[in-house]
Amino acid sequence: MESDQPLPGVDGPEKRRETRLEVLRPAIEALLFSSARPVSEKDLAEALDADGDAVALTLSELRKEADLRERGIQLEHVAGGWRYVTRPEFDSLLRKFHEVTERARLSLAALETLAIIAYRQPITLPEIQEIRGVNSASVLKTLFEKRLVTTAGRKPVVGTPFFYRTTSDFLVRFGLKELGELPRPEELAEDLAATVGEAPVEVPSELEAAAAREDEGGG
Amino acid sequence: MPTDDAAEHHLPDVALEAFSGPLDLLLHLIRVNELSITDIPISRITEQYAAYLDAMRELDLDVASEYVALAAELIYIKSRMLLPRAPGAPEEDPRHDLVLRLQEYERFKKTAEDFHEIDTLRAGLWPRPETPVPPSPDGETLEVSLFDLIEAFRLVTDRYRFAHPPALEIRHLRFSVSEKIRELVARLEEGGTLPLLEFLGTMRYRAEAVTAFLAALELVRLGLVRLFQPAAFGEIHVTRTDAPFSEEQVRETYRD
Repeated sequence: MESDQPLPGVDGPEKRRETRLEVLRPAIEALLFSSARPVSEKDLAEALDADGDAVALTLSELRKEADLRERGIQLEHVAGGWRYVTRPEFDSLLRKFHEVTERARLSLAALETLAIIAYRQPITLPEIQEIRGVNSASVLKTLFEKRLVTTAGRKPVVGTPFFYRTTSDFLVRFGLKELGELPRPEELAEDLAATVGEAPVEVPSELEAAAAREDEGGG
Repeated sequence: MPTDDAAEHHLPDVALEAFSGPLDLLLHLIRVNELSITDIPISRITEQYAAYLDAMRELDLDVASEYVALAAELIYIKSRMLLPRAPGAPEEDPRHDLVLRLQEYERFKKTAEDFHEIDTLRAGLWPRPETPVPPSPDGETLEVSLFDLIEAFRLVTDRYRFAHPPALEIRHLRFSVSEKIRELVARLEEGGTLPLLEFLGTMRYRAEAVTAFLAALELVRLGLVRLFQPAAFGEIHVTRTDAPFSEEQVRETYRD
């Protein structure tokens, strides 16, 4: 946001960014209503040529408003963006109305594999199999097809296996703002620290940055 | 605490497919027996584990190789615990590595259960359905993800393969055993013995070398040559025997 300040010596009138709540509130609501995927604050600010802090403030107002007035939808902050979803208590109503009977569930094996990737990323298939003690190729394929994991380069060892990491769809599905928000049982946190200790410490933030890039680039 | 017998009678209660792997099965056995991961009675657990594998086979379930591998590991640990330690050998619990793996696996299993709970709860939140945003009139900007690209590439290659079925390829049989027999015999008539491996090494093609090798074997069968190797793993030499060579012999065996 600091870069928004005009540089000294640059000509032209200082551009006024929108800060008025009464202008931003309905506009942001419209933008979020029209988007299926979470929209980042940066994208909202750009779209409205608005001040970043004002956008953040408006979002928290919108969220409170949805919560207070007992509305059917709520505003959630996931995968580095914001989106409207229905409230959980209307699930059975909606399922009946839309005639949705069964939901695709992730198998225990898939959830195990996903948990390992989430906490140990970037990680290769042989490393996953080492932990699970069982062939995990088909499970990994399922997770890949469901777009919950993706490749992240190759490990420079014999056979150069693919590294895998979680995607922004993973963050959305599990309601996480970012990877750092993963619940950290003490032991798992230790593991994470041990893994990070080997690699450059910036690995998690790089992954988040990559996830963010995907948000911007992805459809 | 159940006795070994009672525990064994419990076996059929469990849906076998419900285990996501051998470590999962092992953890289950430890849990139903109310045992501590860090102090597993290996002998008892190995028996129960093996009994499960037998039950799986009886039900005609494929016992994946990983399950068998862990059974072997358990038996190995059991044997190491029975054997007296070599004098002066470091005091090390043979179960140590297995315990570490089990503990690590258990942590992820618990996390997977948490994930399952979150996933179930969040499945009840309905987002706005994905509706295609109308394309921009210039049609210049196109946002695709890695997945879209992979899918597109798959479609293209499928279509290409369908439109271009592989042509029927006919390869000439370039080398024949009878030809090589004649060549070998001619070489032997000239110079007494021939180093076979060196001779094969002069061939340009793999198929040619294989054919020549077959020719040598055929000549041995016909009693026309003798193979001998002066040193283990050394060169193999070929010499003619006294038996007379005739074209008919070759023609009888191989018609080209």
